[in-house]
Amino acid sequence: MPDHTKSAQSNADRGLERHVDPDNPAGPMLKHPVDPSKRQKPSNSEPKRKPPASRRFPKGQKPMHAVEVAREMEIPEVVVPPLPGVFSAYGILLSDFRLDYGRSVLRPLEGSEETVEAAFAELERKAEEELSTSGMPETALMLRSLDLRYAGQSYEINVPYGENLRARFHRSHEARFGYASGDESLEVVNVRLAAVVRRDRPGPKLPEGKGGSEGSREVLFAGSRTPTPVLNGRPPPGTKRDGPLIVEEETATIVVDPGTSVSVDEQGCLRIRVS
Amino acid sequence: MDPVSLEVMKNAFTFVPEEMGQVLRRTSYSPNIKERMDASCAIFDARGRMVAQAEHIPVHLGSMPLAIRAIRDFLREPLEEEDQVILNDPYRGGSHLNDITLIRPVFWEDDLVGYTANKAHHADVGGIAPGSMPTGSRTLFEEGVVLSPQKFLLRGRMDPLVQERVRKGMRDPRERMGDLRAQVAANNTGDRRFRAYLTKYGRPAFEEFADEIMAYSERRVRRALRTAPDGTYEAEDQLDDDGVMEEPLPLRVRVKLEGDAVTVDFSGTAEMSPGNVNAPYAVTLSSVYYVLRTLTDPTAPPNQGCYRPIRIVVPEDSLLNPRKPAAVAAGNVETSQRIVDVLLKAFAEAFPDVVPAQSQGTMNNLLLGGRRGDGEFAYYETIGGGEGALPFRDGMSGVQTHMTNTLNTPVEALETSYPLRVEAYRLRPGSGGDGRFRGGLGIVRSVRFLGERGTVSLISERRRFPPRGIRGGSDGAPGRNSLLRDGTRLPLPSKTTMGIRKDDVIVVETPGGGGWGSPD
Repeated sequence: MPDHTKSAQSNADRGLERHVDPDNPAGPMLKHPVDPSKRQKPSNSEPKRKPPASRRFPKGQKPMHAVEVAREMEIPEVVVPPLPGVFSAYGILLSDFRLDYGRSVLRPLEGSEETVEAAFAELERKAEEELSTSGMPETALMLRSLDLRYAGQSYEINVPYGENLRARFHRSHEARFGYASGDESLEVVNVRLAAVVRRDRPGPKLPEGKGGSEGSREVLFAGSRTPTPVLNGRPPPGTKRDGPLIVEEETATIVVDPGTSVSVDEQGCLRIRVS
Repeated sequence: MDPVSLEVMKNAFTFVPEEMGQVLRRTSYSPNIKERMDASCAIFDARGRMVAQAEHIPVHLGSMPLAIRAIRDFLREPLEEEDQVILNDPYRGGSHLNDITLIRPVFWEDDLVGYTANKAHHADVGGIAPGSMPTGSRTLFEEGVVLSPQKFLLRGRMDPLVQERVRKGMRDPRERMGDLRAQVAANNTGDRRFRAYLTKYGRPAFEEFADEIMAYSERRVRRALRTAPDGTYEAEDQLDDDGVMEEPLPLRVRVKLEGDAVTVDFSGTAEMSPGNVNAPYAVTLSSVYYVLRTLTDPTAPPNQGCYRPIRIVVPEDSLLNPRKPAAVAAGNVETSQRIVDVLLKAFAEAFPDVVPAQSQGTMNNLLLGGRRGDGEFAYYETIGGGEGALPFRDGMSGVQTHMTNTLNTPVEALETSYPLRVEAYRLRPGSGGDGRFRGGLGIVRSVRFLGERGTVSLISERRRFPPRGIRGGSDGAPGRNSLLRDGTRLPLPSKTTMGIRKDDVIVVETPGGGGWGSPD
């Protein structure tokens, strides 16, 4: 919370004082929950596609306002995994091994089959060699794809190699930019190969929520102060509670808003039903 | 409206034209748009007032709003859902024929609530020379296909007659259509995003926001104007020539600063030229807006409100307010720079700690065309040069200055697309004016033509009168154009259209910026 005395001074300077209610200083900001992942990237990047999300997995500091964001995006359930604050790091340690290769071919897609197949063969040989010298199993999944564009453009879309290549490119272009040019010729710019070695993932031994002490605190939810239970540590699997509730953990603070409910599943994930 | 909501909505609605620009860039065909990003995008409210703009090219600033007004004044049929209007007529919302504007009306529950629009420079739009910026054009019709505001898409379907005019009248029709499709897609993206925000915030909030953001920008500009001393300031500058006669054309301005408003009066400037250096009113407007914006409050959100404190007087039939069908190809690119120069000269007294020495004052327009495969190609680029030194630092070298803000075409992209080879692209040592702070250096760019036969057009300035230093700073070096043929160097004038053949090399040396303050 900002220091009231200091912000009152600068707010007055900027004529903001009439908008700041000392009992609810963050009020106007809460009308616009800002999810850092929605902040627009600088204009060099691709226009964002809305990911097909039926659930959200908040990590890092996001569990604090995950419910508000879910409400805004009309997502019905929020799942908070164990160790949310370090979940990305944990995921990296568990993820599949992946080696990426590419070769530029820059030519019309029409008539390129031989060149493309030869390029894939070469990249696969390279991948097998690198896998074996790295001491990894040679049975990797070889994922082939092409960077395609309409002849005349300078930016490509990556499309998995296989049947109906053109149709799939037109669909991707349409999804991203709103249109496709069925009659225009295509160019293949790069041939790409990803060699993926799947790893076994035995059920991870995550810290089991054992629960801890329970306290209470007054919390401002949407402008009104509400006494809210505060749990020190994640409750055990099978727990079912209604909001408002705050769970304080080592790596995150999870806020369960009033009007929602939360349960803990067998894997130790908190599941917050938003609607 | 509380300041938090105003700021959040401002960022949301500013993102609409930004995203439009991304789509335009990523899907277009010509290097002009996908590499140089010679394009601008904006959104407007129902009254045709500009609410937000992605600030790509300053020379487009003033003309975008005039395009909306042109629709209201000249389009005969009413607008419908999924329509898109096309125009490039400099006398009806355009700037020069190459800049084609597409506008889509945004509907909400059957009402017109606003517009999305984008404007992009097409490498060629027909006319007597590839690139559509020929030296020697006297009327608009020699420069290319003139499109008065008309529907390009009717309820989402492309009008076959307009398409035909484009395909038959312009060079490299495949590239033209690819770019037009990109422009259509950019507007459609803008429309979707605009309506998504209307769903989120509601129409009344948007309308309140539009009024408030314009009032906010207006307040900021007025506040900055109040800090400058009241008074009348005059200045004069000139164009080297108009490509027809060898005489310079004077530009004169009288600026009156009074309290929180400013009047800019161009009376006394040369009359309309028989050549194509005439600057349509929209271009004059853009140039004035640009200067005022940089001098008053460059970070104020760009919208209609910024321009309310400004009154502009320019007589009819002036170089800066020509009458149809006067040719205007060079007005947009060269005369606009000179308007900036003369205005900055006038303002140098009122804002002494801010006004820089003169920058290169030209866009060094290079156009090349010829055969490619079964068809023709047309290529256009502008070349950077020296920025004028500022009161607190040296001018940057090799940059685009003032009314232009495009990127260059990377050598690799250029050589992949056209039968051209770049043989030199470097700075000109010693070309910046001396001073307490030195003017930036100009550029040397040499391009070899690898086709059999072709045409080159050059439109440039500051070949005769160099960019001036200020407050005791020295002038920058003037620019120079040459043709290397069979081992001989032939000097070229500042403005020319001529035939070239295989292995001819065009060499453009661009001006350096003026210095600031005495060198001692």
